[in-house]
Amino acid sequence: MNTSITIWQKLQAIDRRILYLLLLVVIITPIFLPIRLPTVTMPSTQRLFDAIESIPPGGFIMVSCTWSGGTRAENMPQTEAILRHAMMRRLRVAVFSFDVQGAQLSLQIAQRLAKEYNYQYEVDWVHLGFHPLASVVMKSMVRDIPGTFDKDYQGKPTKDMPVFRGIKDIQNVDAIVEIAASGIYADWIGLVVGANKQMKFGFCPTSVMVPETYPYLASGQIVGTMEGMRGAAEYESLIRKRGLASAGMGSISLAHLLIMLLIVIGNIGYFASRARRS
Amino acid sequence: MWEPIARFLGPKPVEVVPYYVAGAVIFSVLVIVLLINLPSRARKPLIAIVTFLAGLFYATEFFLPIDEATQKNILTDYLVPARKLGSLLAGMTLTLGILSLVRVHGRNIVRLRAGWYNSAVLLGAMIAMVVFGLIDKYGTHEASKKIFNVLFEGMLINMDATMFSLIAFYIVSASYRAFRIRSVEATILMTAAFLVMLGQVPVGLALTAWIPREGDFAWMRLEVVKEWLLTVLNAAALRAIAFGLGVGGLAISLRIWLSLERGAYFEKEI
Repeated sequence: MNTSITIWQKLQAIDRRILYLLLLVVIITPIFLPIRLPTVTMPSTQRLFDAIESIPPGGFIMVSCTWSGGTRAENMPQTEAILRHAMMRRLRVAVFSFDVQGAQLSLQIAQRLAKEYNYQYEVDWVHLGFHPLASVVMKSMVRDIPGTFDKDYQGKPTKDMPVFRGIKDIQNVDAIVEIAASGIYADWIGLVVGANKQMKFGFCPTSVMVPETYPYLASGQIVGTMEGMRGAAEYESLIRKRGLASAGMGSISLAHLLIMLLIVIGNIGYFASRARRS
Repeated sequence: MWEPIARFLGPKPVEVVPYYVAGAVIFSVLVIVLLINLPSRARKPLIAIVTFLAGLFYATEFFLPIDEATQKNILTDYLVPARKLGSLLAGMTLTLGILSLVRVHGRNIVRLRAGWYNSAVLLGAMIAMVVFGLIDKYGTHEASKKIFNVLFEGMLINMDATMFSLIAFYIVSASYRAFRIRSVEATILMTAAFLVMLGQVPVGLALTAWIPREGDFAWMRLEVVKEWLLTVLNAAALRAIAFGLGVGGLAISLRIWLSLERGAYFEKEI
């Protein structure tokens, strides 16, 4: 009897090092042995895709990359998917960041994709670098985009760059997509989105940020979202270009299942111990 | 009335720029000297006035009616200079932060306090990033550029990602230990968590993929259940929280703007 009680108690107190090892195994295994999983596109991802799809070629889209190395696993595939879609659609793209690391990382992604899609710098796309004080920049760009972003990431004046032709203020922007690991969407909604009712505002948060965004999706202030790595995988499937996110879905799926399994095991131990005691 | 100011803040011919820069440096040094020598009792009123004027600018610009033809009011043209001023101030605060960091950790190293080597690593890393970062931006030395790449991409970004990924391990351990069905509320919470988690990943979605997307049983598909939980129940609760936060944020903003906030930092002697 004592032995069986010990087993139930043990089920509730598995050594944390074993848990860490299990997680490591379930994350690493699908990277080497890929699992092909079906992708079901969520309405929020579809809405973001449709919004970008509805912009005519030559339209102007601004992509803000407020993320850093810490959330690269989720935000990098999102950035890549959005930029890829914009370049596939031959939209004019302006990339910038409210984060120092985000500026550097987004520049590398944009440069790589620009080569792939034969995008010419200054003509088809531009990188506007790092800008501190997000809310002040947003407030300013509503009325004057060339003035707010007067230099690119190299310090070169943007005034006469062909990519900015016809762009004076927020009224000339077709879409803004924020890729972030923070609640910066609230600033965009409060300061920019209402100033141009025709403009589409998309948000690509990390998974933990997703639940916060639903009220704004329902109100239409956010046109669509790409929810973490899963959203990026869905987007990759929509643009028919499987990439990092699709490859990572096996790991994420197994990690979720592991967490659920461990919770169930812990509860079995808890109930069995309680039944024994009573 | 506004024209001289606009002329002063507007673009300048290249030949006069050095004079403006020199003037700005002299003016800044004078202001800093003045601020340092300001009596303690005068500092708070000064901060209150500057805070009020800064807030007033944005509030007035927002509420003043705009001219339909130009889509501007008399303050609109000053948004960009105000933004640049904000960037400058952010740069100055960064300098203050660096000075403070060097002072604290420099003292640790000089006095060989416990863990002084951590301070040495911190300062060494900071100096290396600044030096090689500047070389990367302005220099032409290829080897130094490569060193910056190693520091930034090879180390900083990966260490950042490593720190963040540790959370996943803690989440697994914590959810396993803490998630016990001890009450009805806990049962509801866990059921909802399971449904959302399964609905988030392809493996979970595959469980109900056999149910037709259309028809009477479509609501049983996991992605539909998950969407309902998140967009109806969760969104309703979050909307309530957002309203509370909004009202609270407005109150706090007003208190800070009008320098009415008290307690902690705001009552500190400066």
